[in-house]
Amino acid sequence: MLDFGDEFVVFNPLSWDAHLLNAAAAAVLDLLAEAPHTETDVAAFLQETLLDSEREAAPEHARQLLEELIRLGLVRTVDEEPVAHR
Amino acid sequence: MHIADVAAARLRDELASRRGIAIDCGAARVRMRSDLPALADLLRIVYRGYQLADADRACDVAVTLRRARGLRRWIRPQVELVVDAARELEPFPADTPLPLLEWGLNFALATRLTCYLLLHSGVVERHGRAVLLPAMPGAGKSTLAAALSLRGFRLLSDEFGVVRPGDARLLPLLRPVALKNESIDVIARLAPDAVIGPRFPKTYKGTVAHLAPATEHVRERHTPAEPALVAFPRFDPGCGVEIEPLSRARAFARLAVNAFNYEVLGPDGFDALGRIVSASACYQLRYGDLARAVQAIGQLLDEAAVGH
Repeated sequence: MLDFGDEFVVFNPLSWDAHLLNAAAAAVLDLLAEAPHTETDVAAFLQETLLDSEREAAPEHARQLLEELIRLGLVRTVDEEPVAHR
Repeated sequence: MHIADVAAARLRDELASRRGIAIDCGAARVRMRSDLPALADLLRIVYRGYQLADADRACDVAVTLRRARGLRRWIRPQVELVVDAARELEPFPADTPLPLLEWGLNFALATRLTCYLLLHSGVVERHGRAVLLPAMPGAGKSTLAAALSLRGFRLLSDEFGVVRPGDARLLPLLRPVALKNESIDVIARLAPDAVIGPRFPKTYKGTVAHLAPATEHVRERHTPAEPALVAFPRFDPGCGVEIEPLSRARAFARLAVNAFNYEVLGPDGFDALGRIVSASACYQLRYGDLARAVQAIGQLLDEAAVGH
């Protein structure tokens, strides 16, 4: 993954596509690359990084983010737990 | 001996021979063959600063321009373009041999030179630091690259950003600059001493003429340059010069789309492009005033030196 400050570019080793990610998506991808996590784990992780006013939206944010990462082929589910392709 | 000094008859004979002639353009050696007598004189103008390379050695690509056979040749002569051994396109009118040869070489290089990451980009350098001018056809990259090459920058290519995987250095792939339509007079006015070949009207891109690269740039065609500045040009007659910073991530995405063979190289292409963008300041450049655009590129390159 290339870190350009507040934007990131990640290479998908399966499709050979490159994707632009924001900081939250890059952080979640890093988290999932370390070990499988549930959607609830991801929401909790995001909650720690969000502003007070945004924390309530963390579960919805996590759901949308994981859907998008799965759609891009960067994350897959294993026994219902999202895992990053690395 | 420079090609300009080779006798036209000898060049015609060699072009018509089975092995043709070979020219070392830096990142690639190209073989040219043709039975068109007019081509030799044209090559003596636009490849004037090159020397004939050893045609017995292997070349990266081979392009043949030959007269089409058949009765039609007596009515409206046509030529066939053969890339390596394949005639991939229908015959063309015979009155634009040089644009066709150069176009055929572009096609051959873009599809065969897969050991490098190939960006669709003009490239110039100053003090070893390269400026990439990536753009699609018609955006004004050749005109800008030509102008920069006549104002203190060394030309590496007006068409190909050749990136060496591993160290992401830019390699020259130096050939004549194809100027189109109004750009021909613009460059002729900018540098009255510049050597520009004959004009070919009625090509599919309008009128085309070729600027011969400076002999000192030809001499340096094996000297790479470090990436330092990426400026996506767009000619806009309505403005002087407008410069807008571009994030590195956005620049990466645009370069990946712009590359001829990014998807062929996969992780090596990703790595090389990442190195290019990480080492460069990135901008969008809209220009209508060529002289100001040249000045702006020089300033951006100087600022990029301070920034790094």
